[in-house]
Amino acid sequence: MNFYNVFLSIFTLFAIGITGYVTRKINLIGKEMADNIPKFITHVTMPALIISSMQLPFSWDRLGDVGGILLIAIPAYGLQFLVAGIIPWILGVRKSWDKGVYQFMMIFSNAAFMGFPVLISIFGQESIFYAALFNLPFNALVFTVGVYLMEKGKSKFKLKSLLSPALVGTVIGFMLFIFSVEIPEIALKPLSMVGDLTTPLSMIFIGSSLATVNFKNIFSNRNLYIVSLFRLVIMPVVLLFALKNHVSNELLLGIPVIITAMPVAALCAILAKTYENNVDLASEGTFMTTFFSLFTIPLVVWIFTLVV
Amino acid sequence: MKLGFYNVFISITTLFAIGAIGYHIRKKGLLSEGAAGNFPRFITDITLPCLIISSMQLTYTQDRIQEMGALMVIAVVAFLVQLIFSLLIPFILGLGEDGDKGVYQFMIMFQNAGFIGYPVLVTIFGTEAVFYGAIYNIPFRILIMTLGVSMMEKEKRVFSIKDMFTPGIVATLAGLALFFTQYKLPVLIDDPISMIGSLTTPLAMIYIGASMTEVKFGRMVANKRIYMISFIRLLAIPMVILLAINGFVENEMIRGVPVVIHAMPVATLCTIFAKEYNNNVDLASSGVFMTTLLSMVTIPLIVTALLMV
Repeated sequence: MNFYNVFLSIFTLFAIGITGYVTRKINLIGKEMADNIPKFITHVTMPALIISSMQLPFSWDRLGDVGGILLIAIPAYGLQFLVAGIIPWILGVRKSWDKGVYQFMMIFSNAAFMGFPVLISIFGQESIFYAALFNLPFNALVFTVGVYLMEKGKSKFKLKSLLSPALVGTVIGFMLFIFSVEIPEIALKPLSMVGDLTTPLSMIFIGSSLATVNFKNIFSNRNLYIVSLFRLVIMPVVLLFALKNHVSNELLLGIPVIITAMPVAALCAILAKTYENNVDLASEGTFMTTFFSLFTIPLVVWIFTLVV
Repeated sequence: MKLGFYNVFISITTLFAIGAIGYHIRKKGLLSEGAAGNFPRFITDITLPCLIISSMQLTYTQDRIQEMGALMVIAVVAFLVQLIFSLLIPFILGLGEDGDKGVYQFMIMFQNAGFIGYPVLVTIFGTEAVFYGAIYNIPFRILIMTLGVSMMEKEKRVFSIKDMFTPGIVATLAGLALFFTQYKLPVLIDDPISMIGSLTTPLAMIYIGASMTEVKFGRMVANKRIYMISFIRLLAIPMVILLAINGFVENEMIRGVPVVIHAMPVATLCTIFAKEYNNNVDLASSGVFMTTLLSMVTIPLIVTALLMV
């Protein structure tokens, strides 16, 4: 893997993020459009990206890799749960209401909005096939464990909320793969063209969401620096060194490491709001980790290229 | 480059399939009204200029200069054809001294070169066609801001040179400057620009699809004159231009770019100008919608004609 190319790809994402920031600041992207982009991505472009990326010819080797990535997901999520277990002690928030929010930040990274674009730019489109599978537990966990961490009172759990469009897209894509069903070109081309919107639009959204933030407030919360350090650097690096002797396939090693190196999931703030937890803390954490990730992702990728 | 019928068919269907997605998600509310309304500005001010600049990063060759010259000659012919049709249209429709005369003339004279034109050019001919399309659009912009305004306005207004410089035109001029100096943008700048530029086609089609949800079909279908306008705008004009230049132009792209551009539906500026100059806004917007809708059938027809001659 050539580090210059990796740097170039990440810089490209960064530059598009800046474009999003500027266009939102000068109101070329209005509030309504900025608010609507996430829904558009999660419900339209992301499923399209997943399905079109999973259009790979069936082979037993690849099926073996599918097993591999699902197996790797166990230690990867395990590590994040472990850190989530100890973070209240480290931060001294064991008795605080905010405990759940901090724990949520440790378990759930922004795989889809940032992880997928970074993976595509480093490993190419094919990586989404495995990344989508690696991400399957995310959907199951975020609406069970994630909601549990966020809620203070009782709430009704709905099975339907597990069925995110990304999950449905992954299942459909995997079925097509298993049964070797090729989508005809006439349908695949629009699908992949819409799917390709995911990367630039995600970065524009992330940039534009930073435009309305009061940076002063965010950078005064000391705990969030520790959260960022664990979320963005320690966890991915520990995972990298834990896995590197057991996983020889560069792609299968890279996916869990890079997804773990992503900032706090955007859902953090959304769920905190839904379950009346500390929304400010949740969005500050999302913003701070997103901001730092612009520097730490190249760092983690650099360490990755040194090790592999 | 040889255009294959199958590839062209796939390209055009792709565009309309994305338009259909736009229509569907707007209907379902996945795309809100405010967000959809923000797309045109975002496209014309950000993504389209990026697409133009990155597509104009081409190597300077003598052939290319000759092609640009040929294109300019074709432009003169093509705009003359449209001018003749637009002068004739009051007689064809039997308008007399009707107050709407200017709106009808505008519809014939000005097509939607930027919004639908570029996506169709990119998907059929590749990004290189954007280079020629952008150059082609410079005289178009001059005409629309002078002749177009005078067709629409009922009272007089001073033409301001500032109106000329849309982000698209500025990007074209910048792209031309880079082309003639053969300055290659560093990858660090070119990569993000071309990625943002690549948003243009899908977003434009999604917007067009979404905007179709607002059509009031009843009123639009009732106006019989719109059908004649559509026929002339979408079929007669591009066919006349194609037949006029066919014997003289060998290069498939140089022949194709003007024909495709002149086969586009009525420019959305038609509605905007009609609003600005207190002209018949309803008529203007039904013209835009009707021709956009029908163009989904006529563009493939014109492209087929292009492949056959």
